[in-house]
Amino acid sequence: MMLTWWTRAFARAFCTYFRLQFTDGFVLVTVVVQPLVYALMIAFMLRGLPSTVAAISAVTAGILMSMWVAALYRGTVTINYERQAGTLELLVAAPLPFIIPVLANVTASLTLASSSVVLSYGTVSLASGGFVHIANPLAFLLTFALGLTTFIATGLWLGMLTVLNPEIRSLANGFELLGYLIGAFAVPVTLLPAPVRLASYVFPPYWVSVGLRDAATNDRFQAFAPIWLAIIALSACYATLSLWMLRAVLRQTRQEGTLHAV
Amino acid sequence: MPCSEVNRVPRDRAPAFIGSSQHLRRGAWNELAVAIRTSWLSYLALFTWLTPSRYIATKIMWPIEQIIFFSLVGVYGSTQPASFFVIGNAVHSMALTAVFGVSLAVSGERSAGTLMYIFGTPTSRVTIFSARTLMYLADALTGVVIAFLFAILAYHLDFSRVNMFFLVTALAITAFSISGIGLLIGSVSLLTANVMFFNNAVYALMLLVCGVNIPLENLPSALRVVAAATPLTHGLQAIRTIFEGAPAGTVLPLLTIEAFVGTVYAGLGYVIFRWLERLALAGATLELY
Repeated sequence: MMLTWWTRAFARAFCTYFRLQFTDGFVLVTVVVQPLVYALMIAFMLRGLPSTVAAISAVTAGILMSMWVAALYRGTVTINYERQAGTLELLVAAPLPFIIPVLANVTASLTLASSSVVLSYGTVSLASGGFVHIANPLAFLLTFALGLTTFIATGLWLGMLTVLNPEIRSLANGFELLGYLIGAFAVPVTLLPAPVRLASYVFPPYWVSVGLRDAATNDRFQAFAPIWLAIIALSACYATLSLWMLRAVLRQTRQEGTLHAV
Repeated sequence: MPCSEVNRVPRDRAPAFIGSSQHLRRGAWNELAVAIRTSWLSYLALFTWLTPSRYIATKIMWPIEQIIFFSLVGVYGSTQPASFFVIGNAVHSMALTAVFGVSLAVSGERSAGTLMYIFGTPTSRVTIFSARTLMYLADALTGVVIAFLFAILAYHLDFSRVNMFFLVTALAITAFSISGIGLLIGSVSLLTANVMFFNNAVYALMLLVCGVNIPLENLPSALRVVAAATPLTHGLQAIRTIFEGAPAGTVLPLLTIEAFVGTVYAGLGYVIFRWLERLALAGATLELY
């Protein structure tokens, strides 16, 4: 009964937030237009490489950039958006877990970002004059589906982080390209300096990047097992951390009455 | 005190006949003073909402990360040296202020509800428009200095053949030219609330077509046509030639085209602003675009 109620609330919130995005030019340009332009640019920039490597790197970069931007910007503004609109108190007081509308918001944004799979693939295929070859399409799609969950978990974590420390929200612009770098979205991780590589290994989008790129050349499913395991484990870690942080936020706001001014 | 003394007006406050040379001179000084004051205030107004961390993220972290990311991609996948990407992205970082700052300064009037006062002011629209850009030009140049300092430290960017006078002139003209497109977006944003859509789209498109990361000759012909009509393209070409130690004869024509392109965009912005002003006054729809 309770589960049905929560599911309905999630579905309603998801639909509302999903439609809301189409009225926001910033979301449309950063999640849809900009990653496409970057994917196209990367396709041109990597022309010195074998065409298959260049094309799949550009497609992967377009998808990951779109999803990272969606997770980053929606994650960091989701709770503060409610605060500015004056609806945060109502959401906290509603008889359902607070995480549900927040989760719906982040998921809606990442659903829009999922369009980048088709858009990036189509644009890069057009630019390179033929379909981009993917040796293992099923592994590609499975990695992407797992990637969706990991980006949602990362977005939630960023959301909680920004509520606990509003200064982090101010730095969101600086995290966009940092995510591209640490996630090795367009270049192999081996090109990054060793300390940065360590950060990559605990950054969930990095594993999605590896999985998507490998799917272009590797048709053996066994090869993807460690990658998928890493994605699932890191997603679980980030989701658990987010829930723990959310409890801390709610406890703090209820005790101190600072819901509007955390 | 005799009446004649009481009624005497100091010479500098005496009224000047309209159209007289004294009136015109004083009018010009007033316009300049208004321009400087407006410029400073609009710059402050934009940055009052910025915390230092947001300024650092936008003006320092972003350009540096952009240089690192695209240099990495470029060196990995193309035949160009790292300096090609470093110079391109450092100069392109001026667009952060010259496009976003300038357009938001104009569109901000609408969101702040002060547009009606702008339309009601007797100050020339040219003064208002040019004033908007002044401080942003200075800020854009500061941004590119930070980017170049990083490039020297991290990439050992070679300045040995650079004529500093040419470089500063080229950067100033390029910043002016980019701010022309910022003014145009600012004016168009009076028609729509989604100014950030245009800002981000233009920022990304400039990165694609202006020769920042892809040599112009490698672009498809359609994009090369777009590049020729976009601010930054010729300015960046000029700056690249300055780094190669080119003489004035090579640099000047490119800078002239760059200045012309920027002027066209700024002029378009001005025309659109005036057109919207007339529409708004005729239909009493000042806040209803």
